[in-house]
Amino acid sequence: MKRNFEAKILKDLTLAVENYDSQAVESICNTAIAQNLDPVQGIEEGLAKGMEEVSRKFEAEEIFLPELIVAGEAMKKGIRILEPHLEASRKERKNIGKVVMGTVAGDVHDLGKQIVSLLFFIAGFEIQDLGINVPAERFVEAVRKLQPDMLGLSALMTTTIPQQKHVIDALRSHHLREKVVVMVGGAATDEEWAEEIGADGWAPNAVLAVKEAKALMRRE
Amino acid sequence: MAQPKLEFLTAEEVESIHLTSLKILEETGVIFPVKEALGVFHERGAKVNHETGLVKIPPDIVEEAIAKVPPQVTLFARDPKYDVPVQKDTVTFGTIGNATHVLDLETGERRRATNRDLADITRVIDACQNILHLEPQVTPQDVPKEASYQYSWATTLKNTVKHVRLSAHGKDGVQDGIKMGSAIAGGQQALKTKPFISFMALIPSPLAHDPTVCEGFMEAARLGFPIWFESGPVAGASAPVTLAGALALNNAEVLSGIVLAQLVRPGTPVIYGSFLRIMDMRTGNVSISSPEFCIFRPCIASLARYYKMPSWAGVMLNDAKIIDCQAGYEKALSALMSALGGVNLLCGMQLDNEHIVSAEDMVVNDEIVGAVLRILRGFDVNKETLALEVIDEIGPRGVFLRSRHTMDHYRRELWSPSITERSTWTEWKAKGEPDMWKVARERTKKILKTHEREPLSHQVASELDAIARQAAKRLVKT
Repeated sequence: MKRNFEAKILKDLTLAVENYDSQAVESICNTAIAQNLDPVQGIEEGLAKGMEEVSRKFEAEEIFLPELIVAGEAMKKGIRILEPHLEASRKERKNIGKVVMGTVAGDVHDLGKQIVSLLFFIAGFEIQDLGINVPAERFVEAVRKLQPDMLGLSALMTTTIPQQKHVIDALRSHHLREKVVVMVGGAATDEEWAEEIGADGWAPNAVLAVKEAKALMRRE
Repeated sequence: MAQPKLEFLTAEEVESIHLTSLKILEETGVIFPVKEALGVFHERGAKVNHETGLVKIPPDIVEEAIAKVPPQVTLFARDPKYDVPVQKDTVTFGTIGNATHVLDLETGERRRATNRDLADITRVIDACQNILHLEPQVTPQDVPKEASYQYSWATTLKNTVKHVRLSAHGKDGVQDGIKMGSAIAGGQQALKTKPFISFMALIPSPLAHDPTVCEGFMEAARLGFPIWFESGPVAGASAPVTLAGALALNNAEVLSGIVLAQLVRPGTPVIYGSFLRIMDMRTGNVSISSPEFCIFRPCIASLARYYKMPSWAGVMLNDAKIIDCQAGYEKALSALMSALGGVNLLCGMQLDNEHIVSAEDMVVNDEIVGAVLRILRGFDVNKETLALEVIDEIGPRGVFLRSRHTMDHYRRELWSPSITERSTWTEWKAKGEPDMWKVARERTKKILKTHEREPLSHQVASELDAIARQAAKRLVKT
């Protein structure tokens, strides 16, 4: 009986994500916790499964970004409810890499970075967003403390992209450059620039940034 | 006949967008991350959160500021022949700035823009008769990046006599721009009397000013220079996806800047503008040339008319990468709709989503603008143009080409293209089957070889260079 009930909860979670229904996700997650369902199972066999189907539809161009992102937000909501109970179950949630993101010093543009962060999250990365106008020292500090697999540096303007180089140089002088994969992006950047400043990856938009990041993770 | 006008919004709809924007400003508020700005708002009685920088502006402050904006402005030029007085029905075309790449004139390949490219492109624009005001079209990638504004201003000012718009890039940046202008005018007072430079203030969406730009436009207002305001919300990403909501948000943002400028110095000449665009939902890329982009333009003009302010908008921008069929339709649609909508100052002319500029594309733009301005001019209906007597005189089976009436009127009635292909197949074949890109390329090379302007004196030119170099010294962190 219990197994059937669990299976139903998991299926409902999957369907709720597939239906872009964050309210349903919320109430099912609360039921799941009340019923002592394993949160890891809830995330991986429930929410993530729904997200897989949504991602498949996105790849097939059956749906576009708004559906993908709303489904991602629904999954995020579910994870936020289930995550505090993870420790109790003594299991770790799987992720394909930890990423620290930020917009460099002198630049207050947030939009592109936010969209990239969301898509990274949907793809299965763990995201730490340092915000906008982030000085090089804070990036260095975050790499030291959080030990991410990847650092994402966003900059929109020709006047601020030199900061991407400053961050990479600062990582080098703190002997941290080898510890982290660095991706750069933003309207004024290009592949040539990424290479010039010694970044590991670059992408022209958010969707391709996910592909590039996954490829970089595989290479590591 | 009346100048043809295109309206998407009824008077009630304009009013409801306005009221929505007032609510946004009063209830949601806008972030001004500049202490001085917060002080100005606080003093005038707006609700200011000094920690977050969020300012909630009550409607009376907004309405009062709107009433203080001069309804007309003149964009002066270094050569008075190119002064642009902006009145209610003015429609003129110009360029915008900050692309990073060019299409090489020889190879057609995309590559990084250099300072030399900027000089060439500027000279070509200077020679284009329908492009009347400009912003440094590319940001050279071979100058110190942190001071790239100052370098591009120097290069642009050296290569055109038309009005040049600079970016309100910080207090120091604005002062650098004014120093350059003053060097050319022979002093700041002379420049202020007929400012042939103005400043662009870009407000990032949604609802949060950029500290550098905010400081910059406050300085420009203080010193009495014209300011072009814009925000460029991306419908569906940094603004509601519904066109009405995107317009209301855009309007609130632009008004927030205008209000601050009027509080800093009442009567500051400002231009109400927008770069409103959409996101392509399949790729997540911003599109700057969609049908919706075209719909927004006349709406922006309607709002500016409602406020009795001069208007500007981004237009003739391409998602197209090269000068092809897509580029042609994107340019023509947005130019025509914006012109018919009555936007006063239409600025753009970049390829690949504002990343690429090509010198020969300016010649193409000049041509399309010529056609659009012809459409906008409409035609007269009177005894002379109805031509009853001529019809009677030439009569059945006659040839009107023989009539004096044709000779007298054709130049005003019919637009004569410059690079548009109108020859026969045989003639075109004989010319080597050139497409428009190729024709424009040849024309551009000719302009670069022959177009001469009275240059700035060696002394003034080197003063501009020195200002850019000093900026680099100040800004480049070692």
